[in-house]
Amino acid sequence: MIAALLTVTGLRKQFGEHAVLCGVDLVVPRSSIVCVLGRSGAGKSVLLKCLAGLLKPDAGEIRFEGKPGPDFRKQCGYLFQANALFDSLTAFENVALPLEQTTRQRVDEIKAAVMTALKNLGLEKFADYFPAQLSGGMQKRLALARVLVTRPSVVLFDEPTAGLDPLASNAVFSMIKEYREQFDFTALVVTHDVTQALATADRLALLENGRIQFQGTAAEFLASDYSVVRSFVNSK
Amino acid sequence: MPTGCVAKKITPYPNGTGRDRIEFQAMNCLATIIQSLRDAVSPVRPGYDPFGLVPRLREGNAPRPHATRHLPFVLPKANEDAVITHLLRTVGRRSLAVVAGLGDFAEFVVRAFTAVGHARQLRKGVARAIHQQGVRCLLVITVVSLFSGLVLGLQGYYVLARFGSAGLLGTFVSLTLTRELAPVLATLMIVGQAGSAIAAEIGIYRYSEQIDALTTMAIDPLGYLITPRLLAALLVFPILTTAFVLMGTFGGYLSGCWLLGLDSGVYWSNVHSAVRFADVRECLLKALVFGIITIAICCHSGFTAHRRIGVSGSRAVSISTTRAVVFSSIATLATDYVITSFLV
Repeated sequence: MIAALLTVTGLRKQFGEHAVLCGVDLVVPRSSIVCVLGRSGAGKSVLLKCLAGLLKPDAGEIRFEGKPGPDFRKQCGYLFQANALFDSLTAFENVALPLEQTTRQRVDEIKAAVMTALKNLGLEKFADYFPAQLSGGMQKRLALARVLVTRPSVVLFDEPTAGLDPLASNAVFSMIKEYREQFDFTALVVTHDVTQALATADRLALLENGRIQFQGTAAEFLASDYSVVRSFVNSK
Repeated sequence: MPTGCVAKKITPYPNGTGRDRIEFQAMNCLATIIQSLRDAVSPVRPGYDPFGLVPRLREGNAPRPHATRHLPFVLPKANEDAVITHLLRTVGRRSLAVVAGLGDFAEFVVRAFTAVGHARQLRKGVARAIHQQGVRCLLVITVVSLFSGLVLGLQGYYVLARFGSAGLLGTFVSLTLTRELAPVLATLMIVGQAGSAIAAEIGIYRYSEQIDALTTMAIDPLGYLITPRLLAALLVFPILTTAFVLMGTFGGYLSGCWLLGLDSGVYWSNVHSAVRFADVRECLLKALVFGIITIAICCHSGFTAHRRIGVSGSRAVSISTTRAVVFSSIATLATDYVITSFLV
C-alpha cells in the first residue's frame, strides 16, 4: 500500500464544449517523483493548474494528507514552463518575494534564507542580476530557488524541459532528482520527454482522453501492453 | 420609400384625447423605427448600387437583377422578423455584457481596497507607486500647467479688456484653474504618463504568468499589484493638481503682468480674494475621485488583458493600454460633469 501524500479523485475540467479532464484519478506518494506523460493538448498543464488553484475544476476532489480543502495550496510550489520570474526584480528580490509577502520573518532572517537558497542552487554570485541577464538554465534554477525557499511539501513542475536541448533537459531532470533528495519534497512533473521520465521518475502516469490510463513504476510502464503506452515506449 | 417596404400606417383617433394623441405619436415613432430596421436589413434591393460598382465589376455592363447591395453583415435569412429579433438580441447581449463588465470592475476595486487589511510591505509598494505616478509626472505637470496658465492669461486678458475688466484676470485664471482645468488636465497628463505604463506593466505581468506565479506563492495579486497603486493615487492626484493650480496661476501672472503690463498687485489681490475654500474643496475632491477612477481603470485593463477576445500576447497588452487611456479620459470628463453639476 502506497502512503499517498496527494490523492486526486474524479477531477473534471471543461472549456465550453471541450472537455479536457474527464475524471482524473491520481495518487502521488510522499517524497516521490511522479511524472505525468501525455501528448500535446492532452490536458497535462490543465491538470497541474487545477491542482495549484489557478483553474477551478468543475468537479472532483483533491486530498492532501487525506484531508480535502485548500490547505494543499499553501504547501505547494509551482515551477512554470517559462519560469514566470519577475523581470523587474533582481534574483535576490525574486527569491525573497514569497518570504516577504507570506511570512513574518525579520529582514536579516529573510536575507540569510535567500542567500542559502541561492547558494544551494549555485547562484550566490548572481544575486544582483536581473533574470534577463541569466542563461536559460540559470533562470530555471532561480525559479526553483524561489519555489524551494518556502519549503513546500509538493513541487509541481510544468514541462520543465520544454524547448531545451537534450543536454540541458538532462541537467534539469538531474537537478530535480538531486534537490528532491536534498530538500525531501514530492515532485509532480508534467512532461512529454519519455526518456527522462523513465530515468528519473519513481512512478509514471499517462494522461490520455482526459483520464489517467496508466499509473505505475517505470518497469510496469515498460512492460505494459496498453497500446498508448506502447506508442510512448516505442517513441523514446 | 424603397420598393417592397410596407409602412404600417396607424390612423389617429378621430376625436382623441391628449393621451390618445401621445399614444398615436409613440406608435407611429415605433412603426418608423421598425420600418427603418427593415430597410436597413433588407438583403435585396433591386437596382440599388450607390457607388456604381456593378457595371464596373461585371462584364457587359448589365446589372444583375438582384443582390446588388453589399451589406455590412451577412444575414442568415431574409425573414425580416427574425432579423429584428436577432438585432434586439444582439443589443440585449451587449447591454448585459456592459453591466457584467461594470460589476466586475466594481468588485475589482472593492477587493483591491479590502486587501489593505492583509497586504504585506504596503509602504514599500506605495512608495514605488508614488514614484511612478508622482515624481515621474511632475515635469510634465509643471510644463503643461505653466503653458495652460500662459494661454489663459493671454486669452483672458484680451477678452476681459474688451469689457474694461482686464484687472479681473487674476480671478479668471485662478477660478478657471481651480474649479475645472487643473483637476481635469492634471488627471489626463497623469493617465497619459503613468496610467498607460501601469496598464502595460500589469498586462505584461499577466501574459508572462507573473500574476499566476503570485497566486501559486499564496500572494494576493490584487494586494501586491493594485492596492499600492490605488493608495498612491489618493496622495498623488491632489498634490499634483495643487501643483498644477499654483504653476498655472503663475503662468497667468507671467503673461498678464510681465508680457501685457497688468499690475501684479491687482493680479495677486484678485487671485487671493476670488478663490474660496469651497473652490479648493471642489478641486481636491475632483482630483481624488479622478485619481481613484482612472488608476483603477488602468489597473483593471491590464489585469484583464488576457480576457480580450480574438487577441492575445503583445497585441492584447497594446489594446488594453490604449483602452485604459481612452476609457480613463472619457471617465474623467463624464465624472467631472457629474461632480460639477452636484457642487455648482
